[in-house]
Amino acid sequence: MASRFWTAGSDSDEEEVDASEEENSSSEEESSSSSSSSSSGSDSSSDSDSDSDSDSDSDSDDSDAPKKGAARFLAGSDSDSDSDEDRRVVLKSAKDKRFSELTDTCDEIRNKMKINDWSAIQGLFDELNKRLERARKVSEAVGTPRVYVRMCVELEDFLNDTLANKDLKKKMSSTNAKALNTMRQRLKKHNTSDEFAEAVTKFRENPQEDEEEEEEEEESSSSSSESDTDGEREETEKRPAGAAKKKDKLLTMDSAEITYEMVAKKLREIVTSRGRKGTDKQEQVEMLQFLANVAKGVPQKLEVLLQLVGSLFDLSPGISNYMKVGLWKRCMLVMLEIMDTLQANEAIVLDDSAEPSEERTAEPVAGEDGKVRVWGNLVAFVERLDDEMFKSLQVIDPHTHEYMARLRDEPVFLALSQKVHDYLARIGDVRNQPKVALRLIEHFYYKTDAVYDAMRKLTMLQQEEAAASAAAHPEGAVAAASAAAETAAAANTSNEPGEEQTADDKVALPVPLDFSMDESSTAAMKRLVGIVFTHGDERAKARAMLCTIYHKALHGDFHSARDMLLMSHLQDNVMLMDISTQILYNRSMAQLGLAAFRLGLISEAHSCLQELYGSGHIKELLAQGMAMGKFQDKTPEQELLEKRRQMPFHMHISMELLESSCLISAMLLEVPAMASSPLSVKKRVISKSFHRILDTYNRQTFTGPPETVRDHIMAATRALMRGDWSGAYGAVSALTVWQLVPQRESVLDMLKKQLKEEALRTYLFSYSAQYRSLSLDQLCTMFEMDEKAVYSIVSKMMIAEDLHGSWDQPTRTIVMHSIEATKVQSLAGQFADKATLMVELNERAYAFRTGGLRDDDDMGGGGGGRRGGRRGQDGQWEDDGGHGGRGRGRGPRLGAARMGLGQGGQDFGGHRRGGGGGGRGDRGGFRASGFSSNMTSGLPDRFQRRGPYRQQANPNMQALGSISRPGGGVGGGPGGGSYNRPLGGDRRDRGL
Amino acid sequence: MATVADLLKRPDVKETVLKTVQLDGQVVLKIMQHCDGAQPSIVTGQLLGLDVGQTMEVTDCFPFPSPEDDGDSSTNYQLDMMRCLREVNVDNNTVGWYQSSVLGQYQTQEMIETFISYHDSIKKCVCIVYDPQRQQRGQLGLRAIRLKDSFIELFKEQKLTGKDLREAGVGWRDVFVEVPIKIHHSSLAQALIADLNPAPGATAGDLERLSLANAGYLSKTMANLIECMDDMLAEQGKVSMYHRNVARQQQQMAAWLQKRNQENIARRAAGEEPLPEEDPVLFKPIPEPSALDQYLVTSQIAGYCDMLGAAAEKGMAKMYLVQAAQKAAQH
Repeated sequence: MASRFWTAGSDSDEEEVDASEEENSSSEEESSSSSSSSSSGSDSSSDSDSDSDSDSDSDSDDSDAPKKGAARFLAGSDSDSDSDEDRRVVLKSAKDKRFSELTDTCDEIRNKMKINDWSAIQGLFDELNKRLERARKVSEAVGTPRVYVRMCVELEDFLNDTLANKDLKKKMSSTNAKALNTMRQRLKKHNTSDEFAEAVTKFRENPQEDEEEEEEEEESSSSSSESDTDGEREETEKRPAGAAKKKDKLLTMDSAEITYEMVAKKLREIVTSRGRKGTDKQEQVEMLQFLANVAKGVPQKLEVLLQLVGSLFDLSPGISNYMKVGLWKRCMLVMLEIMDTLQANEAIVLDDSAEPSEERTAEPVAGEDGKVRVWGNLVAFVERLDDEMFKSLQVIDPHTHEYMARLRDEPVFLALSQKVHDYLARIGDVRNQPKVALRLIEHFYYKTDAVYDAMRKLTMLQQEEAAASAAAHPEGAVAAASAAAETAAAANTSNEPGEEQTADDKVALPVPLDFSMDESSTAAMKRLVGIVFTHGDERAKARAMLCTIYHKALHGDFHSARDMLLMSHLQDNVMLMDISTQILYNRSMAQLGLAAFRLGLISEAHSCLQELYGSGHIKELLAQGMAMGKFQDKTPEQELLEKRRQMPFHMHISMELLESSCLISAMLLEVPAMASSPLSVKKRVISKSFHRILDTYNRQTFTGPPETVRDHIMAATRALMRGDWSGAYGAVSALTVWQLVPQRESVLDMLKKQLKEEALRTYLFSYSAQYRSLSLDQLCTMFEMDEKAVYSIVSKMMIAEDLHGSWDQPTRTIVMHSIEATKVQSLAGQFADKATLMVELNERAYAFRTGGLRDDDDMGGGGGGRRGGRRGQDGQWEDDGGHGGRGRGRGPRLGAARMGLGQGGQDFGGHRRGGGGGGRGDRGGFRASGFSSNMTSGLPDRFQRRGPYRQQANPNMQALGSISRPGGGVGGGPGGGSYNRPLGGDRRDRGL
Repeated sequence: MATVADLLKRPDVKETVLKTVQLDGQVVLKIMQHCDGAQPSIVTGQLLGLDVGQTMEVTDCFPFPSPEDDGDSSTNYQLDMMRCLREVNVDNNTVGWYQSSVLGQYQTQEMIETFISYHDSIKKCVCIVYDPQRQQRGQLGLRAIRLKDSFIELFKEQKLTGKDLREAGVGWRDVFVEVPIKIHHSSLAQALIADLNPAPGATAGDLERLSLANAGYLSKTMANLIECMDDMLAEQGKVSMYHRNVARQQQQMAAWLQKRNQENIARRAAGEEPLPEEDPVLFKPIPEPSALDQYLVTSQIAGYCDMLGAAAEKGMAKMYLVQAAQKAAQH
């Protein structure tokens, strides 16, 4: 609309009110001119006119038509307005009927709206659409009649009102409510369809104009069509003139004449009208743009520019939609201009604590410190711009060029932020500086070196381009920027929405030449994080910390990242933080896990990733997509909130990589553990999710070649369970995700090594029982490992008593002493475990009664006394109660005995006798528990379980010790001997 | 045959009105036939006979149709069967029932309930539990059990919490009572047996008794024992939960009392009527868990332990025997 002000002075270049109408009229012009030219050629061929005549019911046309046709020739081509008007009259009659039909239907709908009859409205709306089609056919116009658009908008508003009014909704009959719902859907579709969306938004932007048109429309229904067009004519002429009248004074004035006061006044006017209903935001932007050019003095210019940024922000609708890219770029340009101005004029301080220039009429004088204070909050603008960019990246489809183009804007934003940051540092605003620094950090932290370098190159390239264009324009980069802003503004003024879009996207956004990115992202991070840590608030610090952790982890520095995480105690209180920080925390954890995995720290990687992966909501936790709401229904608000939290695509952590890392680490940990204790499945589950997947995989009747990540890893698991490391490696290395890992070779090498080790362990666990002896060389060739590695792994297993065997040094073999427990023995072991548990529970219950053991007796001292009193009353327990004192004395002793047993086996015998004796003495009358206590109370489960076969094993052991010891002494040297002894000796000590 | 009864005579059988259960030879055979035939599943049947003073004479029995055959007609079947038997002049007085068991498992809640329902009409009803596996190992698989009277009283009143049972002096051993079995043959039958072939030196049962393979039996029993332990632990959990709840409630109650006390002191100072210090509504006593399951599980465990002990003992003895035999053969 603002174009009116630019062009208001000239009459010749007549601007139409509405784009659609303009098109309308132009097409009319064409059709009419063709028809009239043909009519002028021959009288008989005036069928088009006669056609329209027969259709129309207004009688005035009959006589008018030929006359007007003649008059056109008379009037000549110079009086363009006249001829235009005339031609329209001719066709109006044809159109008019259709339009009146439309209007009638609209009126009817309005009537129905009053009585809230939705089913009738629905019918009428259908009719309206049909009539519109017909009207279009007649008029051959592309645009949509205003009446129609107006109706649509009115309907929509009314619909929204009705929907908002719950009481009304309740009162509705079911058919009515149904119709309402249908209408809602249809109207929504209708109004957002390509055809009407523009018209509707236009209408909404400028309903006033429509009102006028409406009046005129009403006029037309009463008066003849001729007067109607006259009215319209008048209207269109009057309005721009009237609108221009208000601002003209300033706009038309020579810029030299404009005083500071005038600009200030205008600015205030705009500021006060901002946010009010009915103000044309677009218009304001234009005005401010103009004011910026004519502003007097730098401070005022700044004020205007700041206001301009604010107004530009106002142009974008709501928080749910993202700012149009073109608009964003314009904002950036203005911001850059502000920053340049600030840079050029160091005396000016932008401060949001300064008083807004209320009633200033003259240029503000410098304060006593030689600084001019101007009100404005750059940080807020930067944050808003960042948010808008984030939002746009969330929404834009990441697989399009649009997304790439959008990402290219990042350097400019970084430049701006850096400038703002530097500026804040210059004026010493430590409160806001960390905020900007944090924004910058959040642009850097997820970038790998490669990405960062690419970005740096892009920045330089853009700068070169900008420099080249600056060379072309001698005014320099800043002028180029402002020129670009002007072209953007000009593009905006044209009211073709399609054109606006393309023009906006083409706005060149040069990277300021004085911006340079740090050599490496690490340096940049270090610099910025330092600032946040010195000045930031708690949240900023936490976020900066998390970003640093992420960044470090991304760059493979797992240990320092982990140390940072542990020292900051973030994991303790992250649950109290806001959701986006929690997401950042999750991202950092995931990255940490990946870093650990890359370094081959399998158990660390597993513990980092397992929690994320095991939850089953990994997508939600990382905000990388919405989880399918299968079990929980989300309200639309929740869904919207979640959508707003999503990470843009370029920041995603690869899910597949996460999954494979997590599962591979689980596999490497779990497979040997499973092999070590095949009997007690429930023993200790390291990764539940892994077990679940494995179970489903095993249940499959037919397993095809692996396709998904899971399939691959399950295939690897199968191979690994047989000790087949090469098969496992083949399955794992076939995963495509390794291409995403920068250090692919090293990771695969690490995997190979880990797989070999775990395969060796698994193999020994599973099959050691089948061997009498196993040669070291054979193991080396089987697992393609060097001797030392095999030796160390096997020795470790021996020490941990996972492998029942010993080295025979001279022959380089492992001699197995494995004696498998029979079924009964293992069952007896299980039973002993159970019995121990029961005895423990019994003791606890007993202690509860007597108040003896205070382990978990929350009754405190009073409890014991009270219980004692109570005990006296219970008849049957009295005899037991008599031993209460002794029982109490015994408790701790038993506990101590057990603890001693847990640590070293030597004190075992004595204590057991003591414990057992105590048990027998105290609980003579209590046979059931006495029985089990005698059996087990002294024996910790470990010993009890292994008891039977250990005893059998012992003679063997001793025999073997005596055999191999001389051998060790003769050939193997002291190493072999010493190796043998601790094992044998240890066992004999413990072997009861 | 009386030796068997002696062998089974338990020291802990107290003076009950019923001292022995006298089974007719044909009853034993019938039970064995029925139970062995249907082995993996548990089957039941009716015992008929007479209650003669301190002995329960069981003279006949008939099997119940298994429930999967025809569920609803079982009562009719029972009545019809009784009528038919009366017509052929057999004792048609119900004195109890028999059932098969797997590895000596019979201590269940249903068992008790059946006992109670029989008890209403037949005061001295008995149950013969037959364990086919035990029989196969060369031991007598029959045992006659009944509920102890004191327990029946308690059960009927549903006073089964630990406290009730303690007060009544009923331990887990006092739920089921085993009654010695005496097998009786009519004189004619005895004469017939004597008239048949002279008894061989070693019967089939003797040979079975000498079998050395008992690992399967042991592991099976062990597995059952472990299951029982699990049940026991669950029961224990219930009890400790109860204890915890009680303690918590007492704590709350103490806190409440203290508060009420202070309030009353304040009220008294203000000259108002003190509030009552008893509040029956706020603190309902927490119901104590039933101890019946514990008792049953314990008695089951005891049963298993006995079985294991016996098996192990016999196994050892047999091992020594075999060793000695081998040595003797070598010399």
